[in-house]
Amino acid sequence: MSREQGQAHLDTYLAQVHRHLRALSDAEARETLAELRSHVLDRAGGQLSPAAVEAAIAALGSPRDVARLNVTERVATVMETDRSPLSVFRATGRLARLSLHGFVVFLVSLSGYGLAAAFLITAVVKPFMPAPRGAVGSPGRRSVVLARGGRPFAAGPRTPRLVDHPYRPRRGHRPGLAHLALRGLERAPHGARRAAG
Amino acid sequence: MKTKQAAPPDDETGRWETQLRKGGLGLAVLATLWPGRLYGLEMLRRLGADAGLSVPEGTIYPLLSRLKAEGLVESEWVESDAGHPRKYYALTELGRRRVREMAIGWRAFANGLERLLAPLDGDHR
Repeated sequence: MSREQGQAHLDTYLAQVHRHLRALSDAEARETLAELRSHVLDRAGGQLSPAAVEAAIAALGSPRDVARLNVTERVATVMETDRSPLSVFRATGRLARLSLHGFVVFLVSLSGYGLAAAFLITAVVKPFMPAPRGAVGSPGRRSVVLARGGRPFAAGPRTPRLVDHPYRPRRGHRPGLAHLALRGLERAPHGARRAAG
Repeated sequence: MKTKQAAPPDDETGRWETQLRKGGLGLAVLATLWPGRLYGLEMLRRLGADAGLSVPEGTIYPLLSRLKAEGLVESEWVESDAGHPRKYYALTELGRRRVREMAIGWRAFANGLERLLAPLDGDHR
């Protein structure tokens, strides 16, 4: 009976560890759990009494700590050996599953990288599609407008021309948050350079 | 203005010791495998008995997993007399080369530091 209790205690512990190993693949998680089971059985010396199992488990640490150590070490190894963007992205995603804090950090990082990618794409597209798209700066007013269409500044028949007046949205057009924020810059023209002509 | 209060010296020393042990643990684990293959609990016992290193048991397997990913150790499951399988670890050729290099580096570092610390012996001002 006591051996069965010890076995049940060990199974419960391993199930708890397993819950925190979500970031690992099934094969990695199985391997980790099998090794922990073997360790506890060795340490308990084959008795599997509840007290012996309890002592072995206490020496290993809480399920959460044990799982976290395994996940972070594996992810760190992957990131050190393969630094391709996809690999680093996957590894970061695995780390994000460890805690709410990690998840928030992951989302913030993802937003930052997403914004950077958007600017990069805009810079590449701009020479071929020069209509107001992306960040458009006015030389005299120190203003910048983020746009994806329309004509925020007066434009010639083919090539847009930046003119020295603040952006005013068309009638019925509601300016976006970026417009509102950047129009604030127009009110502080310190050192602003007037456009010639 | 608020200033961050410094931690007590004992805590600082404790943290330094933890970092020092952490840095040397990889070498210590590889060194235990020099004579032949071992499973996790055997390694922990050898670290304790031969080097007086008390290693938190939960940390050994993630470390071994890392050493394996780096190609320094290899592992295999072996059925044991105890009635359950054990995962044995052994040094690879790369692991044997690396542990030799690490041992040379460690000794050079330890000897240099020892010379530097020699004047501290007997000087308890």
